[in-house]
Amino acid sequence: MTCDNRKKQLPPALIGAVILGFFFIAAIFAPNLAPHNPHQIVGAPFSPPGAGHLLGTNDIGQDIFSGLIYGSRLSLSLAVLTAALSTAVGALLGLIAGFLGKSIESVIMRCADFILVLPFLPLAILLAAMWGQGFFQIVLIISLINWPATARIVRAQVLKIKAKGYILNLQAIGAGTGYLLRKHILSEILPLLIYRAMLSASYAVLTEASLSFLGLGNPLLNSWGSILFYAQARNAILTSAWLWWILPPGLCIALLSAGFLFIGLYMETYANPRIMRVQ
Amino acid sequence: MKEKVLFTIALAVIFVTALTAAGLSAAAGGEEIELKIAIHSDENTLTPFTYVRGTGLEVLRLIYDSLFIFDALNQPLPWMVSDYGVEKGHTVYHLTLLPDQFWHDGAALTADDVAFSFTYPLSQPHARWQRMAAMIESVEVTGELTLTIRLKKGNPDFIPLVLADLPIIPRHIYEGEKDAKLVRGTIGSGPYRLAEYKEGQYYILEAVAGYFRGKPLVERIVLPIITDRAAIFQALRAGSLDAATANLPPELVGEFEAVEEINIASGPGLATTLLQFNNEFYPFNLPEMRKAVALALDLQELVNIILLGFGDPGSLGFFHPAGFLGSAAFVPERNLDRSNELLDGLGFLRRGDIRVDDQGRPLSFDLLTQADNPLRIRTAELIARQLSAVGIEIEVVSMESNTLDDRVWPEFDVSQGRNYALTLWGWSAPLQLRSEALVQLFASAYDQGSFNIGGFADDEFDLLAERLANEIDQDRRRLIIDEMQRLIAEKIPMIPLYYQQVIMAYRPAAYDGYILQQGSGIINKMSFLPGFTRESAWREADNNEPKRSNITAYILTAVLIVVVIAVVKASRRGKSHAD
Amino acid sequence: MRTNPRRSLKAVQYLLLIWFVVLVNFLLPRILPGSPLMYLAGEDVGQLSPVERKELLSRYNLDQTLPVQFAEYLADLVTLQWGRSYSQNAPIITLIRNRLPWTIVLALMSIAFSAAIGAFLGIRAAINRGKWPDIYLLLTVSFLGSLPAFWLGMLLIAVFGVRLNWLPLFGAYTAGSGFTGLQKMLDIAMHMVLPLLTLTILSVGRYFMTMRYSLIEVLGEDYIILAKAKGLPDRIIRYKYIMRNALLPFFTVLMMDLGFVLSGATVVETVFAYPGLGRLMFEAVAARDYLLLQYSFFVSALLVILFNYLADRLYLYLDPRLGEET
Repeated sequence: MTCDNRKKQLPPALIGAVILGFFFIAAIFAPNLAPHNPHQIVGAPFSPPGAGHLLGTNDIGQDIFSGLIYGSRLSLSLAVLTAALSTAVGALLGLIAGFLGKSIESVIMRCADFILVLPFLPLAILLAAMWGQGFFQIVLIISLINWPATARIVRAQVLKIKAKGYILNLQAIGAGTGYLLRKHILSEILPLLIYRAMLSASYAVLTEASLSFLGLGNPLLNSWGSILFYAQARNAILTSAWLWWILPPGLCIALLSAGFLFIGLYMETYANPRIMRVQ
Repeated sequence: MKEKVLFTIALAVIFVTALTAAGLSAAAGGEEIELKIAIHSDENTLTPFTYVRGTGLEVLRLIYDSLFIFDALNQPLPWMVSDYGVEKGHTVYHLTLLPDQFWHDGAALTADDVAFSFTYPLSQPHARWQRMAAMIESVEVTGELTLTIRLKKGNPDFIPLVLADLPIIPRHIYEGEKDAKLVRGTIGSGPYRLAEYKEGQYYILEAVAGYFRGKPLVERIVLPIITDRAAIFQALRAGSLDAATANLPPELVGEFEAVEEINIASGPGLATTLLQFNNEFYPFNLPEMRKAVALALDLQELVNIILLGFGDPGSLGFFHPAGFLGSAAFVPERNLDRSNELLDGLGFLRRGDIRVDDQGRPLSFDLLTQADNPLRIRTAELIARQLSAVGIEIEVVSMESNTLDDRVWPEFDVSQGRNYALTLWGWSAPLQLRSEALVQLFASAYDQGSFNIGGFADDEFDLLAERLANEIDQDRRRLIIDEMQRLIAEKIPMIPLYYQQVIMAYRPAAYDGYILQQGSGIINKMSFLPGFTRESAWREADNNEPKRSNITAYILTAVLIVVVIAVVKASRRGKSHAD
Repeated sequence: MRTNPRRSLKAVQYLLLIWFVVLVNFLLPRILPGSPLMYLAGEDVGQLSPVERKELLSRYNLDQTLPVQFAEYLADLVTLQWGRSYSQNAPIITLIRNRLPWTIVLALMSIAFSAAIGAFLGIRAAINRGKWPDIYLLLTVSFLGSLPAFWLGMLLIAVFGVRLNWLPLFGAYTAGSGFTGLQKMLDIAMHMVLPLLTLTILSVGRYFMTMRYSLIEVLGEDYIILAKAKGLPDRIIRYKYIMRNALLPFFTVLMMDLGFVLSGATVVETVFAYPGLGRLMFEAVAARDYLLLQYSFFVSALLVILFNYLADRLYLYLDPRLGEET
């Protein structure tokens, strides 16, 4: 893709950056921004907005707006952790597979295939039932489901780079594998990794919300997904409460997820892997 | 709170009288009524061997009859029998069936079928019916419509415990079948026959025209299976449903009261939500510790916040004080000073916010709760908050319900031990109606205390349990049960937190003959058969049961007085509202 | 690298994959904590005596060692004797067969819609690449793709179901309505609108992105520039060169998507109480219904594998040149 084209891709990326910045600020300064402690009972249950509660109160009288602000901490850290973990694992295995080849490649790629063909949500449900429903378990579950796509792409890219002349030349003059990986291959696939990380983060935000909604997340963590879990469980959809209890957290989820995605799309123009997206 | 209960009862009574007339006139109109009532779980083919939950049992009682039924206040009422006699220390029951009862396939129902129904379940792995069949020594058919049941051991509660519960099944369908679950077809003798069942989609019930207790008032009942509560109540409000088996959630009561076309019937609930101790786990093996926890809790706050007031705080005697087995309200009063004193006395001293024991271990415990039950998670959060006031730290751990069962009640066999400190737990409504409930919950011998998930063991209680097992005089049994409740309230092997009210919503324009059965709901035979009005459902129980013990008579009188007071109060309230 | 015996190797790989699926489908449910006893014995399960409990387990072969159970499972799998579900008293094959059509219709329709809309928008965006229409489209479509599925469903229900009361809220058809013919079709269609809309909105993004991306890429390639230089008419360039090469990744995504959506859109099916395969699996986990779980899982994974395989074949067929890469 041309340089010119990349410039035109900038506006979405900027919007993405603004969104992320917004949520990062909300997360970092949550105690200063939130009018209440989100765990404290500060009003009558099911109060509509007004009287010090911008978005009313939830089913036990906690301030929804404060919950939303604190929720950004959780969703962001979950997204970042998951993205880091799944990209690291995916990249590592992809590199190994692409570089070493042979039987180890087959093993890794078959594992990846395997995870990709299992029905994903039921698998997540099973894992949640098995491992429990804490924060780190959720990170693990989403990472486990997410690394194969990265591994596939990284491997294909490595194969491509390997096939390029100069690597062969370098190998011929005795450059070590470690050196090649560090100096050449890693730098070539870095944009690709950032792209995958952003996609994973975007995906993690959505998946956490889905798991929480199905009651498989951790309802005690104040994540946006769990706010929706309670809103659904306490029938906010049937009352006018959907306007302040369902709409805002869903929008936050969508915005954060889209924010990561926009930046990812921009990175894609650098990465330019001629590979189909798997998800 | 008392006021709230009274008020609810009063409300019920008021609209009972006001609407009975309307219901009767609608029924007399001669038009065929078809109702659409959502059922909130798929209950398979709705036979006594294939249903899954209490909801299924509730609905299948429209298809299958039992010898007795429970009236609106859960007193047994002869149903398929015209006459019965009890002999020899409650070991022998003579029964005479009413004539003209037929199976839905046209075959006549005889004493043979009844006898078969009491023996066949012994070979089936259905715990509930198997347990009942196991109580029976022999069944002797003495005529086409008469039979005699002999018990292994005298049981004065055999009628409510078994005769009013066990569905009568057709011999010609089940005889010789090894696995009742595989039997095709749902053939009962009740007022409705199952006309159609689409797995995961719906049931259609059709009235049996020649039913021996009169033609049902509602011709067809379509039961769409909708597992999502929000969808159910949405549809009910939008008018595409006429009623539902599911309870109206407290947060929707206000919203639904505002809808003119919808009526709400409510009454005390019998399902118990409780804080269960592992009584073998230090420090909850110490009665003072359990007492300190009880004193630190504010149950009324739980009722107000979690149930929005639509419930009653738990009584430490387990039985609901308004239920017929509840003798007194043992609701603990929050007393932080006393709780702190007890904890200090145990040597658990405060170090900062948390207490530690004499070996420096902090009083910090996991409280398990089901992840798919938001009300319980909220309850757990509130409990954690309340207990922090006395320096006990609670970490709420939510887990998938099967996983929780595995920790608390592995293999559903209490003798296999338990792996928790504290858990939220619930027992369904029927347990509140069993005179032997406390024995099942707390007897240390696990074959008797099959629900003793807290591993509670107390010699004094076991003695009482033994006395109860050997007592056949109703009044004396009642005294023993009272004593058990007192003992339990003192030893506190668990803390009943609240009983959530039963709240049912329905569209009276479609049908208004529903009768609310205490603790369960409006889907029952009384709701759909002639001869029952909301008042008669109670009164008839009174007339037809001459052998009733005095205590129930007292309770009924008490209820009447309460109702009168409540009506007066309610009307005053109404006035003040109008102002 | 794999060259000549590629095809047989691929076949071996797929068989291996299926074997893995079979194995894990067997193990996963069984290492879950909890037990299916509750559903086997009914709600009063706690009152079973130890003897009765044992008898019950042996009735369902649950007292056997895992290898024995596994051998039985293999035999049953092959002979299609899948047995009965513990929790939903019916043969598993019937259960799956009842659910599958709903999932298939929903999946096919949603993919058809989202692929068509996605392709149309993707082409428009690629033609205007880098200009504002492209950026608007990119922003809107990818934002729509970032909506949480259940939330979108809830909103649609709240607006079209509750507030406006235009469309039914749940299920696949009106239960027990007795509709026939055209009326029944209409009823089913009305019930499908909201789940279909949800699924379509969510997956338009994927097709849009793929189409736009591959078109832009193809448009920049040497041979297109060459063809233009040669003075070939635009129409021929567009269809012969561009579309053919751009459609390749598009079809691959489509095939893989088919596999995934067919294996059950659990979340959407849950929100709309739609009787599909995804919800069946969800229910099976809750009930610890080992048999139902393993077979529904198997069918679902098999569908994904099948479409993956077809995608592979299609890829090779359309562009033998690329065969080496994956």
